[in-house]
Amino acid sequence: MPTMNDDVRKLFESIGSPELEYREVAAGERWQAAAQRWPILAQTNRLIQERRQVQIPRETTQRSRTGRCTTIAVVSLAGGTGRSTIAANLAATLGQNGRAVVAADLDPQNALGLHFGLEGGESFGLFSANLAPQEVALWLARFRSAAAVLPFGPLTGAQIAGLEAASAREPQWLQKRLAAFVPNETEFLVLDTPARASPWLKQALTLADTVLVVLGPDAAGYATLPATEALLDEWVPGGQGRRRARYLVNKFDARRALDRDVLSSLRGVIPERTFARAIHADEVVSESLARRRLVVREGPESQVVAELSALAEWVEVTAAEMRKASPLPLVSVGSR
Amino acid sequence: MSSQSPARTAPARRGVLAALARLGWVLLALAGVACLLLVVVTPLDLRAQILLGAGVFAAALLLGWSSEGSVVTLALVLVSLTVSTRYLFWRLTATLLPERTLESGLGYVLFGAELYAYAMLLLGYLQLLGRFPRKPQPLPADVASWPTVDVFIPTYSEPLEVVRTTVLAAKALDWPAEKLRIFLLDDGRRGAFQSFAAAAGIGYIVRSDNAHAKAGNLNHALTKTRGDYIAIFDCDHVPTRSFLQVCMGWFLKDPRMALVQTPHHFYSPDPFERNLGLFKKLPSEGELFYGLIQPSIDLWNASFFCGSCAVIKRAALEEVGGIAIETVTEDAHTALKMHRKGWNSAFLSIPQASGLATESLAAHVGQRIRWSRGMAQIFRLDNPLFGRGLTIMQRVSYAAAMLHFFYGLPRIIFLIAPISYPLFGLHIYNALPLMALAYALPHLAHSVLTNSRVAGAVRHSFWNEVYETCLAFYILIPTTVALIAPRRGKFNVTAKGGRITDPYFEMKIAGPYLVIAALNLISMIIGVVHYLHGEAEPDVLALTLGWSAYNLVILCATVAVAWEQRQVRDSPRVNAQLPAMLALQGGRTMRCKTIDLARGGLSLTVPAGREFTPKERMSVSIFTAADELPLPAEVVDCRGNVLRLRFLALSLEEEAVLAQTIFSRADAWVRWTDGRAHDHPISAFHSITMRGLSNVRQMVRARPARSAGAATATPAPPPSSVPPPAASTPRPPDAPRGTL
Repeated sequence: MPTMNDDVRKLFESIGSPELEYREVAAGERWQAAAQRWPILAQTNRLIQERRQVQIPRETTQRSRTGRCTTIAVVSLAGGTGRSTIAANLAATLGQNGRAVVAADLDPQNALGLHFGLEGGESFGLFSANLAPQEVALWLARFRSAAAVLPFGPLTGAQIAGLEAASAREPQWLQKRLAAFVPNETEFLVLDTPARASPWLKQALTLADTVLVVLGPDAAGYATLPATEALLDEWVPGGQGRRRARYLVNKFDARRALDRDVLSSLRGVIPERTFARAIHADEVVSESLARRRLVVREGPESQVVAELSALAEWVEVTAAEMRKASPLPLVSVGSR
Repeated sequence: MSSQSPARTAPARRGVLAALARLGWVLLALAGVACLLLVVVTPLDLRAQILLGAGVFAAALLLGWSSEGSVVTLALVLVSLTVSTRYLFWRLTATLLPERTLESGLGYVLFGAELYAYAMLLLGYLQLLGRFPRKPQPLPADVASWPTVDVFIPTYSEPLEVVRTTVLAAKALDWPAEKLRIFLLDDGRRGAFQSFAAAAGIGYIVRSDNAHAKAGNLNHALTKTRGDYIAIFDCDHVPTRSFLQVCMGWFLKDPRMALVQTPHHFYSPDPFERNLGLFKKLPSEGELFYGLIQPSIDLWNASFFCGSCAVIKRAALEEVGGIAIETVTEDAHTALKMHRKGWNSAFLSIPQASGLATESLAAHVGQRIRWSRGMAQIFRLDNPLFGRGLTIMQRVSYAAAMLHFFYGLPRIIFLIAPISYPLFGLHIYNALPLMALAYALPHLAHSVLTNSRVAGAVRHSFWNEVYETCLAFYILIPTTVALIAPRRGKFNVTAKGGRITDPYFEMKIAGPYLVIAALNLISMIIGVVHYLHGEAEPDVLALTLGWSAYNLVILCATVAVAWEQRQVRDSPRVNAQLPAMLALQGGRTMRCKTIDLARGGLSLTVPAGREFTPKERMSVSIFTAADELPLPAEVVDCRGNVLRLRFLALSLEEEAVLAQTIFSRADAWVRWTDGRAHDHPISAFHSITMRGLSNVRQMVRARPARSAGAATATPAPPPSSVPPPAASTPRPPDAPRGTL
């Protein structure tokens, strides 16, 4: 059942009884009604709830992390959900809040840099070649005010296949790679991940403190949810993948009945791990990419920017909570 | 045996000690009362009385200033009571003449009025000794065990627009759907209402006649429904979504609970607030009752049903034969019957619904005539002082609530009394004026001071006089008739949701008060003339002139209320700062915040820099606890960063979301009193004087227009009437800024 909403909390505080309990009965009924309207929602909810019944023992194996920073993996197993946009703008919002942020592109499409004004033709990249530390420092110094971005690099198909083979052999391949690029003072590392399953997607999920799953507001997006959870359960030891997963609906348009029901359903079935609102569909997003600017710069008064800012705050809080819940030893692998 | 004896003696010893302690308290209280009685009965000469009065008042001022605590409040109440009792005792023993002359007869009449005022002061203090800090009780964790509730929304002649909002908000009540049924009880038997009920998916109940008005309507619906509890909302009282979860816990905690009542809160200005331009600056007229009297009598299990915004247990209602039909205030009477049968009642002082205040002064007066007549009927037919089943404090509380409505005659006596000397040379108050002042002033001053302390948050000083004066003339006859022939007269419906497009002067209501004011004025002039001719006793004259002047201040303010100001919006705005979003043409969005909302449109704060053209279309989402649903709207205008939008035709679903956005928020009415000034007797009196003076100015200025206005003065002028040019119609400061 959804937790007490703000209006009731304010009411109870005003009468001096903040301890009173309230049940969001109608909200609970709303998402069940939504599932009745769309069979695919009902089916997906059932799968999610079944998966919940499976108890996973708490994490026992120790993870190591890259430097001191909090790592957020932005994930979507369906294409076109706006994963890169969320990764770029989340990183930029955290950067605007005064955090030292690096956004790293793990997707061979090499598109994350476009959001930061790169042209895509730069030879620099996380995977393009082995670079000297001073070259990396020079590159990162380009991004003074907002988050720094590490592009994937312009790679050929054969090169990518080679990377896949290398990463499949070495479980800490990605971690080592990042450690060579991410400066020690970084507070947040935002990973934009590829849509298709790959060895370094697995490594990114293991590495992440928070896995931010981006869903499209449609049946196709919602239906990928159980598969995503299954993948997290399978790949991340000790059930930590699912516990660290957070869900976000992007490109939401409340004028469409299905969008409303998808969001309501998600909030109903995974209330504690869903971003309560959504990121709204907004032309400013594609227009700012076309202008090679970040959304936070292009449309500061837009709803999307307000929501990104709320998202950044939510991610910061949840990441802090999770680190408190399972503190990790600060092992810096392959530091420079 | 021996092992038991210590165990038995210890409680026995404790019992003896407790009895001794109780005896000690009783003796102490008796001694205190004896002292106070001594203060009451000891006669003093003028000098000593002045010293005593001034000394005690200064001490009370100091005491009141020193602490906000309840012990000090109690002390001040005791002081006020003692001083007033001393005045009344002196009045009884030293100022009444035994002879049978007109003068002494009128003297007894005035004394009678004073006795009534004293009795009401006493009852008031007695009632307000303590407040029950009642809080909502938790409901069981298992939602499946919650009881079933039927929501009744009775209507007779109100417009559909008003009813729609209430129904749509009632549908959002946060209660399990299979345990909640909503019924529209349409005594008007209107087709449009029936089809609306069908579209909204709620029950629609009609009957073949309108016998016993609202009470009959509710009773008929009781026979057609089966819920364990009945929630009743007048058709303009819109509930918040949390209403049932806030109220229902008490029924589960106390199986003998028959009624949970919440305050009647109004989101539109009543005639006093609108016509005097005082909306939200001053406690509303009803706040004394819902903010202080009900919570206080709740302490004695004597809070009663007020017809709306309440939940009643069906079993209790059926035991007393349904809603009472013998009187026109069926609500209070039903509660009285349930109390007599040993059921309990609760008052939760949390506004969980909001309604429309009466739309005009005439409607307000009409409503109060019904209340006063009904209460007088109950007093006569089912007197709470007698009969079975009530506790003493329940009897006192009910009696006080009923006797309250007999203020008509005493109030008029006080308004007319001072003319007796200047106009007719009658001494109806047989005492030396200075002596009278020395006794009466402390009595009045203490009661103002203490009332301001006890009730200042819900009723500012002296406003009682204005409210009561306004009604005094009109409730006098109905209450008297009800006492003599309690079964006569019928129910009248209070008009809600209307508009006043053209300001006018409500001569029908103000007439008698203009006459009384004129009498006081003439009396003052003649008194001065007498004095100039050396034909009057200066001290007596000064006293009566002062009294008349006070009456004139109250009367001027009262008459000022009769200037009906424009009320062009039939759905008043509700202020609310809620996050919102505009979805503009072209696909961009804009983050903004609402300023106020109404059925027809809203205003928002928008970021500076964006131009809006009138008629530009967009959709607006307002974020609350409910799911988001964008509403289609178009621009009215944009000034600075304030954008005003008008809603385009809304679907039923969109209309429901709008109604729920405005009215269903649990905290919609909690910060209502923010920014209101504290009561201070002197500034309150000053404010009333200023309202009265501005009224006098308005009357003088509007004289040519008044005859025309009086000719067309109808409670609801036709909507087609053309508004007069702005220059000739002074707008109250918080009048709506345009038509949406």
